[in-house]
Amino acid sequence: MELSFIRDSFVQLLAGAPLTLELTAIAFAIGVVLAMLLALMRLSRFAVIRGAADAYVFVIRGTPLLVQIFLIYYGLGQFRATLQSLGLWYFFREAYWCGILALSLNSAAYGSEVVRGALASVSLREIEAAKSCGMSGMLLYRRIILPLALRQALPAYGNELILMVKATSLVSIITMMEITGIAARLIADTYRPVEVFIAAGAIYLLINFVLTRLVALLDWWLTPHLRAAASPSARLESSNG
Amino acid sequence: MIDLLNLLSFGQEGWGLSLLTAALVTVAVAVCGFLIGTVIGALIAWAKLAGNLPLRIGADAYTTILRGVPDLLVIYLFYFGGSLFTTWLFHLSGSEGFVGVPPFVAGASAIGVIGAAYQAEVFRGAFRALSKGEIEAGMSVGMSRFLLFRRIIAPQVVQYALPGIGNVWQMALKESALISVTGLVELLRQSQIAAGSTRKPFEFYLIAGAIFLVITWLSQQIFAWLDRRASRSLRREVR
Amino acid sequence: MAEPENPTPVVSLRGLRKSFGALDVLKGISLDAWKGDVIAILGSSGSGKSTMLRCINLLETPSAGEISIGGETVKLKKHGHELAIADQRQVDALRTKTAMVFQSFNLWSHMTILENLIEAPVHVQHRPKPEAVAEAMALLEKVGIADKCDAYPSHLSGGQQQRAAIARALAMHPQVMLFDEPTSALDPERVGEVLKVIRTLAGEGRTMLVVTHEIGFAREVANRVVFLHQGVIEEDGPAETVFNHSKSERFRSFIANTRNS
Repeated sequence: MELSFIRDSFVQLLAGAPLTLELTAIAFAIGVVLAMLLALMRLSRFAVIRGAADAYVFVIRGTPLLVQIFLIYYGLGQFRATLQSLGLWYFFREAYWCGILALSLNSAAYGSEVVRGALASVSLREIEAAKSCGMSGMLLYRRIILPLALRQALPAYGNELILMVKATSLVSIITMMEITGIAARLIADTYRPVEVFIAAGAIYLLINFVLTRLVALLDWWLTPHLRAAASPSARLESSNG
Repeated sequence: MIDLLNLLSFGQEGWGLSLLTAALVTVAVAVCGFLIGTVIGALIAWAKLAGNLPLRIGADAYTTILRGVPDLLVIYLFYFGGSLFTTWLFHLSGSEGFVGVPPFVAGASAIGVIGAAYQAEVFRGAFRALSKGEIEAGMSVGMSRFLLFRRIIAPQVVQYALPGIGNVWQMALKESALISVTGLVELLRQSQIAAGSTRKPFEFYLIAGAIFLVITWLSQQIFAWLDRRASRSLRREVR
Repeated sequence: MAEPENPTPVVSLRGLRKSFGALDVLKGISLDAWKGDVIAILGSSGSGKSTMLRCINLLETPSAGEISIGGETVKLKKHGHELAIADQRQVDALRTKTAMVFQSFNLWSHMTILENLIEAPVHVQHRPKPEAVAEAMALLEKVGIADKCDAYPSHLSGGQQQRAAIARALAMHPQVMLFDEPTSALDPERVGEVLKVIRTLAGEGRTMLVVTHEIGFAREVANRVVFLHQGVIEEDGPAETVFNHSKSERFRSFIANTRNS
């Protein structure tokens, strides 16, 4: 093992970090929106909507992400003519967009479980209290249920974010040169898998560490009521203010 | 529809038999990886619970690294790194040339080593759920350490850990698809081959997904059954 | 006090000390329990009474002193400033002679009540299973929960669980029964059913050490009372004498306070 080689690899691999972060951010953002939609569908009054959402989650969680990526990137290529006539080919011929699509669809299914758990954790008493003040429908959701659920979901959803960082590595198989893609090329060129693994692993651990800290910070900021109480006088002042 | 059935037929023209064989390879590599992960995971959990400071730090580092690094990187490490290692061993014995590690071995080891990081947390959680009083009761009737472990601790750890173990198994099953990058002809690799030769990737990846789904569903049923059996003592009696 | 016709005491403690870190819980306890003794061990919380009981069952290793069960002295060795168990096999064997009944029952939650009862007889004492099952059923009959033999502990009320735990202790044919506050974790309306079982056992002439807060029960059932205060035995004598003519100011105020509460 050579330290200088690890250092050189580290620098080369770092060039892939922006793409990893970009894929993570875009797919994660779309995934969150879809996850909330799915979670609401699973609470629907209509059995068809509930069933569709449940089936979606079951299928996505029951199959490997790589199969989903291949199905979208290679599988849909079979319908090139149709997609061209619909004007969608520009989207589906790009590994980048196919990767983002697969990652967000995948993340949505796992995320919806977290959201569902969080919504279920909102206590009936707090909902009843809001109803007794005359809140209902969207207002009840917007002011009471969603804020409470968000705080509940945050730690578990932070976990989803880390999983997303790791999952982006799979798009290297469909030619994207993010960190793992560069790592695979370096290994093939130099045949020094241990050094490359150490360098790439260090970058991923660094990214995860920073993201975990950020989520923890957000959690702390969103949950003032769970922090140790300030001194009584300070509390009084802030409630007066 | 007829086309699909032809593609799947077990005859000369169809891919049925190859896909079925590949599905068995998928299950085999996942099961081997899962078992390796269970053994290593138990050791890591033990190190975390009972080890001295260096052991605990080592175990924590293990779980942090393997849960933070993409599985694909670990698979590359085992496949290419494993081959370097076997070649080195071969050269030690005085022979020349390159010896690759079989993809199945590299794949099962990688799945096992990754799964162990998650399995360790499952076992540790289950261990912590054990009642100290029940263990004391075992000691108070004169059980030896081994008997106490076999009769009181192990059955309860398994009972508490079973749902988590089921999750780790599902992960192992899905990770096995990544082993296709090493050229092991498991379900996804076989589908790639079939897709390439028939130019019907959509159908074959769909079929691969469907077979994965069936295996997932079946194993869910098995774990649910095991869980019902194991947690009889936890449920309230229905009268 | 029961007559020492057999000159060896069932339990004998000599100069027993136990400290947890800087905290001295037992500061030199000497006590002999003879066959047929029913000893109520009283004392305020923190007086060391539970620790003493746990030392007899070797759940705690004493820091100094000597413990003998049925005349056999527990082999202890020096380990720094503390003592350590020298022969684990001897300890395992002695533990089967001193059956413990815990405050929180500690039934094994993954086994049915019957399985709980035959576990130690079959796997520790290696008795034939059919014999152990027959005896376990008789014991469950005796404590009044034979119909619950196939239920799991979580399906039973606290009182039923404690009766099962007593039956589990009896199934080992112990020379002495150690009760560690057996009714403290029970609902008030469940206390009676457990005390009734203990009373029956006392009537059978079994040797028992009972750590308890139930003064009335101690007065009625025990033939001997030991009062611990800050890790030392402050009173030790026949129940009748101790309760009515105690010279210890501390004991009298302890009794008075307990009655009022």
